[in-house]
Amino acid sequence: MTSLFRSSKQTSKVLGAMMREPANWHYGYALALKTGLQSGTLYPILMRLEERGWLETQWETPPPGGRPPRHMYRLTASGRAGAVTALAAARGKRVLKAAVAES
Amino acid sequence: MGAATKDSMLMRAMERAFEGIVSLWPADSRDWARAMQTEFHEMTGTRERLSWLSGGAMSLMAAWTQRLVFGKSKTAVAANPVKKPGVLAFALMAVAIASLALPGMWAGLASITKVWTPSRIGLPQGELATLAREGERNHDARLLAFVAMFSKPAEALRNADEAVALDPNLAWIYFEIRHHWPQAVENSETEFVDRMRKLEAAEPDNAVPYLAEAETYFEIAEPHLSPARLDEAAKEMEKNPAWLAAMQKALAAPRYESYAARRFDLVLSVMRERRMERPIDLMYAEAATPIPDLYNLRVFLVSSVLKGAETSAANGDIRGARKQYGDVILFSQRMRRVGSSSTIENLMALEFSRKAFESEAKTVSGIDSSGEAASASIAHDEIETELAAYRAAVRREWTSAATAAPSAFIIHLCTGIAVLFGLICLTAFVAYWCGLGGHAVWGRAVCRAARISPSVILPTLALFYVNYLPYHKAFWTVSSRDLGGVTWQLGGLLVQPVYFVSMNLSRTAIFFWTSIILVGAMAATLIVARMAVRNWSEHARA
Repeated sequence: MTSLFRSSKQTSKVLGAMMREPANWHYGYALALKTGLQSGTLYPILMRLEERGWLETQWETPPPGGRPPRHMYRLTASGRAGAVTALAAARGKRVLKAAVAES
Repeated sequence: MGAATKDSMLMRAMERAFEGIVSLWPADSRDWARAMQTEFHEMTGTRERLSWLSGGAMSLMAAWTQRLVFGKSKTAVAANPVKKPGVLAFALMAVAIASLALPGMWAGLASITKVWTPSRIGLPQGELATLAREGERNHDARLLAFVAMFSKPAEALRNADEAVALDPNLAWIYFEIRHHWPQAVENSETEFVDRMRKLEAAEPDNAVPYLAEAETYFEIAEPHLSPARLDEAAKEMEKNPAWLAAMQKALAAPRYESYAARRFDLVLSVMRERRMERPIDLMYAEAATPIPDLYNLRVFLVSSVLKGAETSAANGDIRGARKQYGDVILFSQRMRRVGSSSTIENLMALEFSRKAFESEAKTVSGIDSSGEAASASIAHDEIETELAAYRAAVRREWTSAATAAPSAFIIHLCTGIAVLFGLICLTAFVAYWCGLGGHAVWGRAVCRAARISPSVILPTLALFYVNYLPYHKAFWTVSSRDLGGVTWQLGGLLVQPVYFVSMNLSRTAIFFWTSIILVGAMAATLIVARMAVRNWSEHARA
């Protein structure tokens, strides 16, 4: 069961980026480019998502020749469910804010 | 230097910095640091890399905040479950607790903690009340006299009266509790003089009861006397016939005993009979032994008797003058009987002797009496030498106590460590059984404390016992025959660390807090060093 999770704007960006290809593994640098977040913001978010069980991680195997293996991230099943809820809540907030701004 | 060279140097510097970040990262989540490090190599631009590097530093702070507030990551905890105290910890703790039954161990620890809190010196009132009831039930005069010496004023007087009623030979106890009198009764002077008369009747050959009676009159007049004008004080007191009579009886009495030895013997024998090993209470009871008022004695001997002798000599009554000098000298010799007088009494007695011989030498030197002036002068020189030797001996005693301070310091430090880790262990066990064992942060701390404490407590208690054992033996072998030597050693070594650390300040609480701060600083240093070493060694293994 997905517990109530109040995600920040930055966390929503990360979840949104991963939900575009939920079944794929993502690299950290790629996520930083897609979300526009600095590493100092991105990685604490990823660490917290992993603590909550929403994220699974693994090292690249086998590592391509000439460079060290990279760390990869993918949303778990509970992570995907949680991301849907969190993104819907974030969308609803934006709509409400826009409506208030127009009025 | 070309741009390419600068860039490669900068790149190497940034790589080194990232390696530093990885090495400082908490061990249980270091994979994240390595993850950031490998992504670093995917970048090309210097600015991009610098931004990634600064992000790494910020993430390092976030990782440590997470670690300190919430404990290790769940995956790390799952991979490395909490190590609970094992059989060895319980066995060590059982041995440590059993060691408290060793002769002197518990008494020693209790004594040292008493030194830290001076308000606890002396026997608890509840215990004294129990002893008093037992004394009354068993008609034990000695026990009642013992209780009187430690009781509050009203109880002290009542217990003393009961003790003396059972055994009139214990009348000296009134002199021992005299400092309570002003608080004990109204018309305390009359009550005290009545009881001193009883003591005078019981011991007519002892100078001290007469001195105690005379002091009562002296203390009434003292507020109007100036300590700097002894001659005027003497003239004023000579107008009081009761004072004069009591002091002259004291001067003529063939014996001087201020009851220090009897007091010590009584306290020590009662403590030993009842297996009450209380070296601190014994020392403080000994230190609180009253002595006659030396100001009163000085006024009488120096300003009344010796001055009177000089006047007699000036008037031609040499025989009368020499008799008075002799009276003072004999009195001083009685006062100095080794083993029964305190250091200050001995010093004052030597000083009185010296003055008497000095005055006699001056008087006799003015008359044509072969040999007498010379012998008085020789006696005066001998007393001067003896006085200097006695002062040097007292200084040596102080010095020997100071050199023994390291041993006493170890005793106090070990007590502090044992008490601190005992409290930590007890708290840890209680917290664990209250269910905190499963908590992410506190569970580990609790279990670690419960594992480590027995290993610290046992060797600390062993070190304490080895250093304290001589004083335990001294308590059971000391006697009043060597009051100055052994009792000073016992007291000096148990109390000395107060002065060792606090530089002549008398508040033992300063030493207590100093040892707590020292122990705390050592513990903090050990913990930080252990964390750093573990972090580095795990990084090196990786």
